[in-house]
Amino acid sequence: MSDVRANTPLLEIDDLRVGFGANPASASLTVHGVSLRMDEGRIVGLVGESGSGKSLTCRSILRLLPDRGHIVSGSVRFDGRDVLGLSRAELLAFRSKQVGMIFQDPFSSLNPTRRIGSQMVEALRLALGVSEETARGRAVSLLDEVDIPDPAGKLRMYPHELSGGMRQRVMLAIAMGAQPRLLIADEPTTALDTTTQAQILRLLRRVRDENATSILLVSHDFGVIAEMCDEVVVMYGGYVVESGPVEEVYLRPRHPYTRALIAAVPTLEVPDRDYRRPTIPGPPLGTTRYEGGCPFAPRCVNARPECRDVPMTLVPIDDVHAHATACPFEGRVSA
Amino acid sequence: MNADAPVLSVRGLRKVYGRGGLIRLPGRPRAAGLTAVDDVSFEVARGEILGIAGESGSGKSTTVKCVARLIDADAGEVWLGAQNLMTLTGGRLRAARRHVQVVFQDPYSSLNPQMRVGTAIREAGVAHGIEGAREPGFAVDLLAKVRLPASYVDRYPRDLSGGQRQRVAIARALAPRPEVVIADEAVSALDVSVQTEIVNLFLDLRDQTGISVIFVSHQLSVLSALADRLIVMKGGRVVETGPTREVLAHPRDDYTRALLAAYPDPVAALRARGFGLDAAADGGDHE
Repeated sequence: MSDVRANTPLLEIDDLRVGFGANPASASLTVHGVSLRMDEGRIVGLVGESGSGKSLTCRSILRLLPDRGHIVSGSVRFDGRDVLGLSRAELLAFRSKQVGMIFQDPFSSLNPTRRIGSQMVEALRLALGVSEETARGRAVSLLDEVDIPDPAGKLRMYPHELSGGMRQRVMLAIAMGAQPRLLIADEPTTALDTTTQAQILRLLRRVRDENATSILLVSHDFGVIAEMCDEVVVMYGGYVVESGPVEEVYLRPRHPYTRALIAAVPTLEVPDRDYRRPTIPGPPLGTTRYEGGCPFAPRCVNARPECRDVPMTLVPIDDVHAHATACPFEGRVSA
Repeated sequence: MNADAPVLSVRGLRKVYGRGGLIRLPGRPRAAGLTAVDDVSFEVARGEILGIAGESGSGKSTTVKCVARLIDADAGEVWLGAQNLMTLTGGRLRAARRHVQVVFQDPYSSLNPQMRVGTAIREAGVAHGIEGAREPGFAVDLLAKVRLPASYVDRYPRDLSGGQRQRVAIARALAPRPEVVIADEAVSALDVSVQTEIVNLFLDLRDQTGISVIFVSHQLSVLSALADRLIVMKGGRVVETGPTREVLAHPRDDYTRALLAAYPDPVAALRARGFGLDAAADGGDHE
């Protein structure tokens, strides 16, 4: 492969703006200029609280926005191709062949009235253009690959006959059916028990290691992010506030929100009776009007008047690591 | 009454699902049923927070639903003071229920979307004949207890964040002035940072009012900062019980150990992946 190809990221989101309204021109923004870049075979975490814009950002990659949602401006490039410029037919092919997606609640993404087998066969035939018989054989091996015991028997079952963890495995098997180059996993373990979560995370890691599939992992839990990701993008109020290699961001966070989020990760330590774990003070996201500047300012312990109109641009912290922060008071120490 | 006597005492609780009660298909044998709760006993002291840990299907949720008489147990006793809740019916059951209130996982589905917050809280008091529950100040006082401003009485559930809705659900549970509040996965649907806020709220409520709490969660990391004592359940049975510090530091049961091992500890995860944590102290000096 040429050097040009090697330098093209698998996914490149540039200055993405997403809003809600009757049309893009009048839409009020909920994602403000998000940029993100993923290389082949990497696991990138998108971390933030409800309302941070992380789900809308990853849905924009597939142009799967909710009703009245619009991509107002920006670009999404997949392997150098402009996703936002794809025709309807190209978009369908892109969704079924290049990108797989799994969600928090596998029950709502499976049809409750149809057997697992018929749903898998339909998806596989669409993605691979194969016969029903071939698709059925592939379905069995896919279920086997995600460690589902008795795969042939499971094809005859309905979603409600499976546990939450099993349903998520089925979703992963369907998503991996077309051998996509990118897997988007939106809170894939949030609804699961801790031990099931650990199993699904192991499985996702294996998917990456064996197929070099890139994974965009959305989570509100820094514990999951630290365990899984190579890089992390921290979002708050529709902005990226910090990004970089996971160990850099976790061990040397350079945005007050990232620090607060890391401090909020619960531990197994039993504190003294009067101790209270740190929380993020101030009004929760979405309960106050955004007035510009840093969206975290109303809750930030270091907030100052200038925060009301700081530009939310990511500035590199050093030249060695691709670690950047949007907080101008935490950035590079000027020489 | 003896001050040291438990507020709530559960003995030999048993619940079997699907034993083929009303409808029996012809030619099919009577179903064996699934024993969801099997001989569960525990006590809750005044002002104590008891954590019930376990995974889906462990029987923890069925246990507390039987305790609150939301479903009927097949056997066992639930003593609230001198009354066995299991044997009560009608008006006496309603009166006793006042003292055991439940907060569920999803406040969005447990709050009436068309009812203002203030009305929802007042109604919970009125339903149990609490004096002054019709006064405007009643809901405001309860909102203050869960640290929401008085102006929230006029809001609808949809105007609130997930954490705020759960605070309202807690205020409503406190309205009948119960002796025990049962929280069934009450923080599982919330963001990590909001979970901590609710955990801290329960700790403060306990310290201020001496209320007893039974807190059900599949996350030991939530219970570690909250519960005085832990019960670990598996397959309908209690597999381990003890003071939280003791259970987490020296788990005796294999299942408890497995639960602890599955916890995603970011520091341990990064260390296992070869990222040196000692470098964290040096202020970011890298080669």
